[in-house]
Amino acid sequence: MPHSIASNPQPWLSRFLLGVEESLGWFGGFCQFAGLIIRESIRRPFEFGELLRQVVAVGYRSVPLIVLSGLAVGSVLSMHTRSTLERFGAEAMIPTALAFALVKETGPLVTGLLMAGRVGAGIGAELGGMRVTEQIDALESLAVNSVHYLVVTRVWACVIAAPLLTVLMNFSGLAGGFLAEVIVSGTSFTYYLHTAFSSLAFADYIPPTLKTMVFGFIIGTMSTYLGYNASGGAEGVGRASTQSVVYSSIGLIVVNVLLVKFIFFLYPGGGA
Amino acid sequence: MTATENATPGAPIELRAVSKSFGPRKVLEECSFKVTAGTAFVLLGRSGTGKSVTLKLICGLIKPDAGAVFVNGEDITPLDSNALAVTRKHLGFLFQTAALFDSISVGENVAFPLRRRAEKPDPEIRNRAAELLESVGLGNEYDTMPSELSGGMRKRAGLARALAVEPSILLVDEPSAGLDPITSSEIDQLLLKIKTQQKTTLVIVTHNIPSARRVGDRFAFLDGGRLLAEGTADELTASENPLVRDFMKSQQAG
Amino acid sequence: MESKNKVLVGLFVGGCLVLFGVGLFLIGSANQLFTKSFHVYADFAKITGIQNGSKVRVAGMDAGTVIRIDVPPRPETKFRVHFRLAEKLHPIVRADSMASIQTDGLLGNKYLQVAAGTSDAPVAAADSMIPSTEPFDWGDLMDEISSAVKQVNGVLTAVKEQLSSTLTEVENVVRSVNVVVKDATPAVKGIVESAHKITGSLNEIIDGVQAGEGTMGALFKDKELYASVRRSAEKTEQTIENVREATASVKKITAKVDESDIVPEVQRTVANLQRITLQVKDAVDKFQSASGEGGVGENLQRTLADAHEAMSDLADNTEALKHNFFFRGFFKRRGFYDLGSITTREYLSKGFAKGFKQHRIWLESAELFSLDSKGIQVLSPAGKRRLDEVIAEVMTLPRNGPLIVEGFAGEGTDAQRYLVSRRRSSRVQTYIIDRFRLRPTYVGIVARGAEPVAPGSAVNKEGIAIVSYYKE
Repeated sequence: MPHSIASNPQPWLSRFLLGVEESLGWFGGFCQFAGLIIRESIRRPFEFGELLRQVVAVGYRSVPLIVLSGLAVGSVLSMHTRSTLERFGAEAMIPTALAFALVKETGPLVTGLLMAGRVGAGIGAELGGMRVTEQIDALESLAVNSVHYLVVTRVWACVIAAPLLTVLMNFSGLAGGFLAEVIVSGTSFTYYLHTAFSSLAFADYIPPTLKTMVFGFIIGTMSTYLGYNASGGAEGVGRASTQSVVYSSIGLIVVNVLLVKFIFFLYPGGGA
Repeated sequence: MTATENATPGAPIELRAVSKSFGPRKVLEECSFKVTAGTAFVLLGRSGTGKSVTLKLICGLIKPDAGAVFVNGEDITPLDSNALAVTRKHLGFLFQTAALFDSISVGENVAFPLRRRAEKPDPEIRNRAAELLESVGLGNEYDTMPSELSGGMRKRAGLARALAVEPSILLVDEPSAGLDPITSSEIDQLLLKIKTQQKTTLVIVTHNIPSARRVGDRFAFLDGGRLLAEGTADELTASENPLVRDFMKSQQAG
Repeated sequence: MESKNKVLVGLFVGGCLVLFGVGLFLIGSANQLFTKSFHVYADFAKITGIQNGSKVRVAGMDAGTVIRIDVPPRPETKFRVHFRLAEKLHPIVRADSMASIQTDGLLGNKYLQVAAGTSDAPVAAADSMIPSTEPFDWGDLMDEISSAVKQVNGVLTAVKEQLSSTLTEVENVVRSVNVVVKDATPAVKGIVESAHKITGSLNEIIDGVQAGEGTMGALFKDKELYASVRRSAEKTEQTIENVREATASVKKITAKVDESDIVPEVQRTVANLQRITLQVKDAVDKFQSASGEGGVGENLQRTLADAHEAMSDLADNTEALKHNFFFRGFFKRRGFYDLGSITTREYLSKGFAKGFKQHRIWLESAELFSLDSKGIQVLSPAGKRRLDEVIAEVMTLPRNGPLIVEGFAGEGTDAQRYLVSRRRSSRVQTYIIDRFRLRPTYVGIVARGAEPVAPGSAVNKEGIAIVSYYKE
């Protein structure tokens, strides 16, 4: 096959075909890797200690980032909604509108993108570094299944942390919205929180929160795949780190569209 | 594994017509050798001639394109990672850069393989790890992080980690790379001690002839993926192949 | 190391799960999941967007949610909406609490409103049905209106037929009376005029209703109503209220027409008339058999006067019908109610026959009139021929507006000029109505003799103007 492409008289065409072939190969490798992760996930023993370490790294250490971003996003959204709803004299709807925006879409997606940035880059760089300094080989030589030990734990840490961070993002966002609102109208926090959730149904709250587990899986799988297969020294590590962020973000944005459609299909009334 | 392809008895490591290429680049071609138990086998050659690849093939970290690799009498080429893990319990690997895990302390690096086996309670594991560090001269560095160590110390810590599981085979990749001659000599002494005291089979990859002569029993010369010569140091020095002869002599002089 | 990780993970996972739980609890309590509640249901033919989980409010207070909607198995059965209400509101939810479907604000969600009941009614039992009103629907309102219109139409047609047959009879009798009793002429004339008026008014009303103008027109061309429909985006509720009121009054009028007021009155009058006619007939018979006896003549005159009065009442009734809300729009838009009673001032005002085109033909007095043996102006044979030509020309125009005969006179005092001009127009009106079988109510006269004389204006002239109003 590469032979036939190389002998193609059109250089641009052969370059294009090579690119397509490379991308397909890359994607195939990725899918194989994802399958491997799922297979390794159910294999004993569970690397509990390493999983804890990764949940701390991925989840706990993301808390300040998520809370600060949530406050900022929430207050900004609140200010925008206010200026729009004020025209209709519907200021009372601000908490509801904010809760809808945050809980249903903004919270999960922003959390996913922030995780892709912080966690994806971290995992990509860490595993990339371990690959080029032969630490992964060293693990293997010590009779440790490196996919089981390094990759599966990180992916699961992402899957666990994503919905939890989303909840945190939602509440920080509401808190931010409340702060922006209390300056203008001096509303009470209890009233604000009640109004915010009063128009939501469980189908608006649970599926969008749980869908971020898929985001977590994408971020974890993508960044471990890129890091685990990194090559070419320090430059390769940098590349793995950058690509982890870019590809995770693209992946989760695309998958989000499908998930929204899917949740809407499951819960036609509320849902996505 | 077919019945006709049995390993040679008394040789814990045997490569039989192994070929390996990365893309268009051929790293090994039809390469065959055996290593007798309890001896040190030294692979010589210029940089980038497939020496490290040979070590990784023996460890099963990479698979050959063709041929068979016998470790302790078993062909490891068709094994999956779980079966390989069993074989690797008898293997130690000292990497060129020592490959210590950056995220944990030197002592924990050494304790790591012990903890994985989880045969002993925690205090015993710590004691054993401390002993191993002591034996490579790093008794005070248990809680130091790997990034704070010098090159020679890292290599010794790496050696302690490789020895933690009491392997019957130790694979050593460039023991003297990046080290001054004195430190290099210290490492060689350690390797020699391991070979004589624990009857460990050693496979050492190096291009440092003095170091090789200090530790090695048999030598093989790799060039362009082919095994050009195999024998004792004297046999290689007297080799008909000028490349082998020159290589042996050049470094002896220098 | 590992134990510290456990603490941190516990902190992180536990904290976030607690927050998640807080969210679940808030949603649950907003949906009244954690309050003690009871179940009731209501039937609706249309549920206009209510769905499972829709809010239910009792007298405006959030009280629960819709839990299930049973889809009707047959078209004629209704949707059964099951919902839960907070137990604490149970005391005010009575068996007569009305359930209705409302919209939250201008664009908001649909919710179920349950009104507080009356204290006489028992508390609504759990798992019982409470009464419901269908959600408001413009289409339904239109249907209601048009059915009301059909009803009115039917009633009026029936009345018309009954009336015209009676009136024909009355006229016949009157004619024979007329032959017999010369003295009774004013009363008899009055009767005939009233009869004309009655048939005219009824014809008009029925025409208007059939054209669909007096009804929907009345409803929507009514100025206030129209304005509030225009404001509907802002004040939907109020508009609906107005329209509801309007429909209510339409219904009331229909009921009035149908049962209580006008129809029986008309019927009563008609019966009265028949009785009187019989009396007249009787009197005439007696008169003819015993000619010369003064008593009978007096008797006849009294009877005829009675008949006149009765006919006038009836005329007033039909006239009143035109002014009521239901038909008002049609007549208002036409620009006049009754040409018979139109004043010069009304005629010359801008409101008259607004939007109609005007075709005006001037005829000199000398062309039309000659003096009879008593010196009174009457139409000359030449004048009649001239009128025939003119009207034949007017007839080619669309006949959807009034035809007005304007009378002019230029000599004498204001009063003299007025009388002369009125007489002239009146004679021409009588002639053309008879000659061309025109509908009397569409041919009006306007005496313009009393208008102040302006030099060089037509007002000075002697003669009449025939003005036809029409729409293309």
